[in-house]
Amino acid sequence: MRKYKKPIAAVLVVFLSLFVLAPARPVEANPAIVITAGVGLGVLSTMIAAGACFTNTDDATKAVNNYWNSSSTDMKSKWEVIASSLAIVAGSTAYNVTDELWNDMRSYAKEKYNSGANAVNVVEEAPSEYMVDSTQYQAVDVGSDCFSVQGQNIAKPGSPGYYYRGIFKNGVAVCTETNTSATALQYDYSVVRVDMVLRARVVTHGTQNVIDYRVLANLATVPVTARLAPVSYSYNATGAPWVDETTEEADWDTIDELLYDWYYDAVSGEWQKQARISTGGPNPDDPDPPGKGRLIQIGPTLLSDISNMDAEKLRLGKGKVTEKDPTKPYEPAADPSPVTPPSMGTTTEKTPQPSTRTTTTVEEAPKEGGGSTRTTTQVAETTTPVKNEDGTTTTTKTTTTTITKQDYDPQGNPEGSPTIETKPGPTSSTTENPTSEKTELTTGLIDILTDTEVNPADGKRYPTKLDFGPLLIAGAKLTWKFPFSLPWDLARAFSPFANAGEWQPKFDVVVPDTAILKGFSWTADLTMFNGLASVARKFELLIFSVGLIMATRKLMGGDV
Amino acid sequence: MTHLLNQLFVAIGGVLGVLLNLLPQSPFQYVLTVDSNTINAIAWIMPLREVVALLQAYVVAVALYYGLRIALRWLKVAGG
Repeated sequence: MRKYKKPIAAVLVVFLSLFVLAPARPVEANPAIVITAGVGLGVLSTMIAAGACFTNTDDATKAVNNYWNSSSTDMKSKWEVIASSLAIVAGSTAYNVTDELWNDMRSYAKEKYNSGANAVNVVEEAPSEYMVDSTQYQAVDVGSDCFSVQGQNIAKPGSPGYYYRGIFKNGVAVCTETNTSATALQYDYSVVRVDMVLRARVVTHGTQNVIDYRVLANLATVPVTARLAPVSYSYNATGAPWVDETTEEADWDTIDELLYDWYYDAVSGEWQKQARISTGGPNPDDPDPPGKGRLIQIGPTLLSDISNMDAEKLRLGKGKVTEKDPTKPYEPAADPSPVTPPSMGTTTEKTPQPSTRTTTTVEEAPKEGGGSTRTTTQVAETTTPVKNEDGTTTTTKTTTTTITKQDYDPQGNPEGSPTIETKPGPTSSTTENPTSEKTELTTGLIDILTDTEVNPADGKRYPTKLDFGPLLIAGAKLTWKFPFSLPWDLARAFSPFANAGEWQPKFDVVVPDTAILKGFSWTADLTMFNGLASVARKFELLIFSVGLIMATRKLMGGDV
Repeated sequence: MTHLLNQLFVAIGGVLGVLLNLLPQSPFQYVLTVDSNTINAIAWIMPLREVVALLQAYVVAVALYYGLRIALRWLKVAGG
């Protein structure tokens, strides 16, 4: 055993080194951790929160992969730890992106991406050319008192303010927050291309409320860009030209809020069947940020496995929602009264109201000697929803048929008294669960995004997959607790070198004023030496390789 | 069953979390504050990433070699 002491010790040393170096291993060395859907979603969302907004899915995917490839294994493991939280978000435990990850991502995004070059296209001119294309998108400002959304007039709430978010043509999304006053409208535009958006064409229209998911995904980009490149215009309501314009470029150092938090807020809000999606969140007039929409938007478009697997569920919900023809134009609800959007920050609880639909049929039968007998048949169908205590809704449908017969002369004048016959029709009563249709999509989304499903027995939601998150978090915490952290501390010491990024050899040299020398500044531009530096790096690597070979010979006693 | 196991994981994670909170934080967190731009500048002329990658591959190779040699010695195939 004694003669094996040296090689065993050597192996231990080598494996310890391996262990230490592992977190610094770049992607070329066959990474141990493969990017997963949850991680990709998390990385992308955090990257967007960090200010890197992308023009299309390829850009986004490339950015995530670039970041992933340049991340240390230590960072990757941290993303893995929170992957479950990104996937579940609304699960029993809420996790958050740690400061370390956030700083890492922000630092990376700051180095690699900038708002102007990547995605955020600030409209320089007055946005009249970007006016809503009603044939392509849904929201049109049709007057001083209402918007038209998919052909449905939606009344503007009164002063002192309302919110309106429109989708504009040419793949440009514009967030508009409008404040009314007596003389002017204030528009705040934030512009970004929306190529990467999944346009979830899911339409769920209630009889009393308009819930149009078709705008959900598009609107989802709005909060992201709102903080990147706000452009403010003042518009005179009388139709005068745009009179004021301010632009502001994204400032990396001031973007410090995580959109990730919004995910949790939005989804948890939905989880509790509060406002937003379940009660009109995707409605364009909803002032709340539709955070859930970003999950829809980012996940399926970036992560092919989700899109392949669950696109159908995302689109239709999980079960019995009837697919509607996406090419079919929007059909307004039976109730012609305008729909008032929910006011900001409130949860809208709709009280079921009876509605009546009347169908009138007129038939004319010729009479002998001229004239005719006009038979008017009116079928009135009254639907009375009653909300039960158990949350279900019982809908009573009563049909009444009224037949009116009246003789007409050839000039069309009525003759005599009409004969009116009223026939009560059948009365039917159906009970439906309100969550079964309107929130079918919501339920399906929650199932997918949270890996949970509702147990029909008790109505509670239970996980369908094991959640190792708490254990992984404990393990991750261990790497930061002395003395167990020592190996990881050593490993982390290597990570800055392994993660060294590209550098632009251009910097300012400032010489301050002194008593004998007037100060000056000078920009040192060494980009001309880029080629030389590349050659130098190759030679240095060659020298290092030779040194390793010599060290190996010495390490192994010169017998190899 | 899944629900119960998840609850168990939460409980274990909670206990471990409490125990780990008793330990002091790592004193070597200075690494995170290293100015990456300076390192990037150094990496402009020094192949830092490649060096670390090479070291990684080298350590793996040497470890495999030693491991294989020990195994062969135990099997009396190789001399020592």
